[in-house]
Amino acid sequence: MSRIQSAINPRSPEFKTNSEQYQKSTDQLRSRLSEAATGIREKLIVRHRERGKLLARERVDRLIDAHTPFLELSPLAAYGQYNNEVPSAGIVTGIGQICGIHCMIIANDATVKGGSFFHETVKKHVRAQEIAEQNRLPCIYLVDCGGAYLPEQDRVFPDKDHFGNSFFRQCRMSQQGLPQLSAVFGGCTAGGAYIPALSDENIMVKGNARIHLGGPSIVKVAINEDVDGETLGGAEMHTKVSGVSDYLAEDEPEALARLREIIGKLNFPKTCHTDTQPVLPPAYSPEELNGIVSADPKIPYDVREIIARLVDDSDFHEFKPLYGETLVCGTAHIHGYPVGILGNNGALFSESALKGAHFIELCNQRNTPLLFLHNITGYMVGTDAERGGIAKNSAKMVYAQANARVPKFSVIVGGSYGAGNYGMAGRGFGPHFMFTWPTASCATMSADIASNVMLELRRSSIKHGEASAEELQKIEDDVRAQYGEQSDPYYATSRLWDDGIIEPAQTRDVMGLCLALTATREPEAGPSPVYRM
Amino acid sequence: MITSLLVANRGEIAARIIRTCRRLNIRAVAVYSEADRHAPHVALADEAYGIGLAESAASYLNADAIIAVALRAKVDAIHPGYGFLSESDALISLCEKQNIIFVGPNREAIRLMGSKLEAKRIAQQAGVPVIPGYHGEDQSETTLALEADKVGYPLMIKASAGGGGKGMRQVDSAAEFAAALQDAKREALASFGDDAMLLEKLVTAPRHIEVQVAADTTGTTVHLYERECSIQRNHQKVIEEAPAAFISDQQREALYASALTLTKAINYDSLGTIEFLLDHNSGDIYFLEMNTRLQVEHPVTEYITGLDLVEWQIRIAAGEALPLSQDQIPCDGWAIEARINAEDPANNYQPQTGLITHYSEPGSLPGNEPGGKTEVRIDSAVQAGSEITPYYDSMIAKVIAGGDDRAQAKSRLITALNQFRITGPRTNLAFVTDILRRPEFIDQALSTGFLAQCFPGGWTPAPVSADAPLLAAIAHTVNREHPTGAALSSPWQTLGSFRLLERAGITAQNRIALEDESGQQHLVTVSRSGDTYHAKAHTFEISPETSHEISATATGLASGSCLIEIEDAELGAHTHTLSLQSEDELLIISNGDKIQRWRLLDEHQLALGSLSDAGSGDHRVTAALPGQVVEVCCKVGDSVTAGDTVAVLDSMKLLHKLNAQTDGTVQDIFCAVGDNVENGALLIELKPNT
Repeated sequence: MSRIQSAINPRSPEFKTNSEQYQKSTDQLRSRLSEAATGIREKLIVRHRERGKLLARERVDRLIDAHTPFLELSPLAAYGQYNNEVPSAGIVTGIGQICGIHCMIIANDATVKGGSFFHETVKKHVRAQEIAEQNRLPCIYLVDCGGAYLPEQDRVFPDKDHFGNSFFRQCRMSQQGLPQLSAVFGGCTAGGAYIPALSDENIMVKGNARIHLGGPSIVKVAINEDVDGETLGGAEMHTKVSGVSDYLAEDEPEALARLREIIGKLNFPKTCHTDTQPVLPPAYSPEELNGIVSADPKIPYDVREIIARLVDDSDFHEFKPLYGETLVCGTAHIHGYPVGILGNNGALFSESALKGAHFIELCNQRNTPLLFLHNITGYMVGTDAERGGIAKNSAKMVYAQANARVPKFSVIVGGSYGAGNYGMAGRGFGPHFMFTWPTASCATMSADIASNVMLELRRSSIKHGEASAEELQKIEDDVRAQYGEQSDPYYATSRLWDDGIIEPAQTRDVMGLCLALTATREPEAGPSPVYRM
Repeated sequence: MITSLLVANRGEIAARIIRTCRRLNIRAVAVYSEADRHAPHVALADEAYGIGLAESAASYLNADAIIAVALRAKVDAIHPGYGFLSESDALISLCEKQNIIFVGPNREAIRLMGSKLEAKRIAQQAGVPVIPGYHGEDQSETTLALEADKVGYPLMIKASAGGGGKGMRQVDSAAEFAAALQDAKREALASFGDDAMLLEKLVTAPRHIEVQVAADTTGTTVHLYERECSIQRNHQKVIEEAPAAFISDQQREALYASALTLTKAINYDSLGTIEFLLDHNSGDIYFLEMNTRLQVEHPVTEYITGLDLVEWQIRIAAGEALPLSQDQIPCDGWAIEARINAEDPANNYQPQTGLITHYSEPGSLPGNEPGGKTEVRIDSAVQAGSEITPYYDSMIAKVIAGGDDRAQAKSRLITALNQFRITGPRTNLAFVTDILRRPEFIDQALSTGFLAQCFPGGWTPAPVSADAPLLAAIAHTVNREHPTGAALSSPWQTLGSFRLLERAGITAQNRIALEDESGQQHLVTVSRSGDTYHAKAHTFEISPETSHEISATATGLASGSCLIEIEDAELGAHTHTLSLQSEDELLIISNGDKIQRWRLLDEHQLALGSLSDAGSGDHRVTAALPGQVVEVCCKVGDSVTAGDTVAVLDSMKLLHKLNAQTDGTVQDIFCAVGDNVENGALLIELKPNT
């Protein structure tokens, strides 16, 4: 056992300054989350309740096993977009246990634009399904939506990853033995209608639930028929006449109880495919993380201080500690589950990249999941680095990581720039889960470097001639503003570039939940060689 | 000399006898039925042998099987305990035949006192007063009715071979006589295989006082003072004490004298109890019956005398003389015993069955050995994991508290009862505690009508306060959110209701549906932030009205228990509440004494209607408790009126009538006489009249 000895003094002035500074970031995160959950739409929530309906998160609370966790995903999707009128992109997604079975729950929020689908709604819906498929989770759809948000139809309907893809995934997952179940709480028109229609089993709530391909107004226009919604697609008609629905529920609680009955009898195996060990809390409190991350992003800190506050007993077995020291690699347990951790302690050199590739192969061979803690400006540049083959050596790490068959998790704890983001399993490399700290930033490069690059490009431009001082100043201001805005974690999470912003102190629990979840999936079999680099 | 002894019994009494054997260095052999394979009395013995199926008739009442074990285990003696074969000729005659010592009186004494008719005749001959009544051989209904008129109403019908309240009925008027007689006969036949009845005048201020006697084979006879057992429910003793309060020295002397007279008259040669009725108004005493065995309530006598009565029984049986003479037997202090039964005192003491999920006896019991001056003694033979079956008596433990005087004994008993924690089947713990707290228990002489007088209409648990369901829900949340157990390693089980948004104030709203002891349902929502729990009482509607809310801090303790503290703004003090949980049951102990019991409901099942459906459907007659069908009083096609008895069930040796809840015709019968049925089993289906 090798417990990390922390060099942090929680009584020091720096710690205090850092904590106070970080507290502002977490306060901001909390207020934004709270607003997304229940803010902005108070009147609509009142009207929703008056209809005998529960809020999306209330439905989740009732559906999942009492006193168990719900790992919500991307609660700040669409944050800051559409005049901030589409909180959480109008959909709640996350993983919870129902009758002890991990399930992906996808719940429309009808208090947000009637639960209609914006670009981010579709993206969040599809991402949830992707996680479900990757981790073999049954999908539970709590349907209360009016289909595509028509003014945004070009960003919702036609493309490969748009609305159609969610139905494609629903069909394919069902075929793979992943139950697709839905309960309908409100009107489901057009696209919305296919969520229950394509489910293996569905339940409709009497009075409120409707399923129709075209609503009364479309029916009037199309075939000049006068009909009310209940006759056209009400719950009683669909359970007793058309057979579109399988169960009729008197109210929402009954529908949710019925869902639980179905799930409880799914014959869906619950297995853990890894050796866990008794859980010990970290030797240092995760709450101290706020005081470790420097208020000034230029002041570095040792990533081991973070690891010491994430892993069981702060026990971290470091791999190759004397080699390639800018990449800290090692094995530990989080909530009793084994994990291989890679954390940045400066720019990645050839040695660090080779060490990273070697370590990834080790974990891969041993079926140990990988956790990447991003705080990386990138791979090293310069003559020495290039002569040392940094391009091919960094490629080895990227290649090993891209082909790893074990679950990968990314947490952006600081910057995540350029090819460093690739090597550390950025979004493009399909980590099973990816979370961001509220002070993180993610971009091709930092605003400083980007503005310098852009100024250099302008200065050397033949096409545009000599640049004036004002022009250069404007370029610098614009680039800084663009990078500042776009590398902001809220900008990223709003666009589903991650699975959510989490507080540093939550990281251990969130990772524990992710590790335990992925451990339910049987590891991929087959040889996995370890090439020494 | 007895060096080995077989205990032909089960439960607490078997355990208690074995303890004395231990002390006397006697090899103790236990017997057990299928149902008792893992019972504590088996583990306590030096050897144990199975004697048959769970039903008593196949095991503890099977004298042949017991004798076979005695021969195999080569024991010197058999101790029959109480109940079962303790007063039966079957076992003692086999003992005689096999030359095994029967720890009890001679066969003739048992025979003489075994029939109530015979016993009274002998008592009368000896000059011991008996209650006016009819004890004749002529058992025809006409004669009995005629004799009943002579004795006068109110009167009691009793099974001649009876005991323990079985086959016993009170009759207030001639009109009720015929029906009551039939019931009593049926019950007597089922319990004793003999339906001979006797009639007795009913005393209006009756107290049940009994005298413990001991006699050896030389004819030396002593008494070990009296016990009062007036507090009875359904003619079964609930609270017993020694000595008796509110009794004059003359009355005491009269009791002792009568008891000794009778003991000598029958050449008695063991420990025995002579039961009397004391009419508190007139001061008259009447002989009731003699129990030729050890009594359930013998520990109270052991406390005041400081003696081990089982040891006395064994010594006398071995032919020794009485260890002490009358003037050497002390009478110091006071002792009160409470019988803890698995029963529902709020529901006509209906026996309860099932698994004991949590069981802890009052702590710090110095000694806890039979016969000593232990402040609090527990005689029990159950533990967590024990199953209460419908085959035997519902008593699971006896709590005996002693002190210098009655007040001290009572207060120690209350304290002990409050520390007793049992979950699983319902028990009468709260009921017996309530009895001891009644002013009538202290202020005046007891009477056998004590319970009817104190709890007219039956005992009900104290109503719950507005805070109570909230505290219960918080306790449940704490216990669930801080699960213990090595098997739990997944954070999906250990992190409680973790929410990503909880730090932003968007916490999980856990809904907890509870049922209190009166059967009322409560719905509470609990949310947590850190160690602070916020609970709100709701109605069951979808847009719930909040009626009451509290915030509390709570700490999970080991093994499903927790401590809750709430700041009381008015009192400026903390209220401490401790909870204990097992499965779907919760015990809440407020401020160290008040205990409440909650049952957790599954709100989802309520939403699906399956819970409410199960009990309803008044056209279905279901078994209200597990037992054996002894009579089906209807056939398919019969038309019945609501209230008609359609079947009779024998559960824990008591008969329970099952009545039609609606007018209709019998559509189907799902049971036959002799069937053993589970609680809730559908027995008869009616087609309601429309």
